[in-house]
Amino acid sequence: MIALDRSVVPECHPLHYLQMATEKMSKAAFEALGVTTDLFSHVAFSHAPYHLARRDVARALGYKDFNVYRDFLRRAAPFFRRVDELSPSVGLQTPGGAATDGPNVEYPWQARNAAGALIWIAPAERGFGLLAQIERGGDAARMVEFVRTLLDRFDAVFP
Amino acid sequence: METVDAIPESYEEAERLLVRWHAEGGPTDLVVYSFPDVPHETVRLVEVSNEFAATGAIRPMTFGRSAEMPFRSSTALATPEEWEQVEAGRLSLPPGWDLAARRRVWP
Repeated sequence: MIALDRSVVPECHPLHYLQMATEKMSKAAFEALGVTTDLFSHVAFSHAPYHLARRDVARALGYKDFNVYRDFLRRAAPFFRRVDELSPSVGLQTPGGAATDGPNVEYPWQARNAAGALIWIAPAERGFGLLAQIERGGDAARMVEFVRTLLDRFDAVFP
Repeated sequence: METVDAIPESYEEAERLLVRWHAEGGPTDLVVYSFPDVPHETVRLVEVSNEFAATGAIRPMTFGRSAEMPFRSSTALATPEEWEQVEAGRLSLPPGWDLAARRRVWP
């Protein structure tokens, strides 16, 4: 889906899949590790940099140096959080940006226009900036690689 | 930090911009190779570093055109050992990527 032009597929669509996939993947990983989590919470992926910073996980994911893996998770943690914040049930953790009434990739939300009138904004009309950041490489792109590899090797990482 | 870059107007400009995005501030041992495509539609890079996980495959992540990058981009990560296997012909590049056409673009 990300391979299609943004004029054809707005950013919110691939980001919606990314949010849902990472939430389910994280909950499955935490369950396999015996980590107690709130199954009804949509905050999950942002906990991965803490719960999955383990030598056995690093090794199974193909990292030669645990410190490199741990440093990556530490640096990339804000990106993991941004993925969770795409959910309407999480929302931006900023004043006035609480759940369901702020930018999210699923449902329209209300905002005021320049004239002060309330308007509805659809996710497809808004740029989230995260996909562009992933395209720029660095830790945002490596976060997606981390997800791809963890999904590919899930049964080997968590036997 | 997000910076404002000029929108590339040519394939060569898009390649330079993508390399800069991916390489500046990256791992100190990073080496980047470009694999130009003939129709000049997709900028294709392989990035090699010891900091990347060994996946046993060269898996590109491909993006469609956007307002700030009006060319498709496709980038893949590899460890030095995986890259040696690519050069020895033991690990495949993505379909359509020609090893002989590669150019080292970083450093």
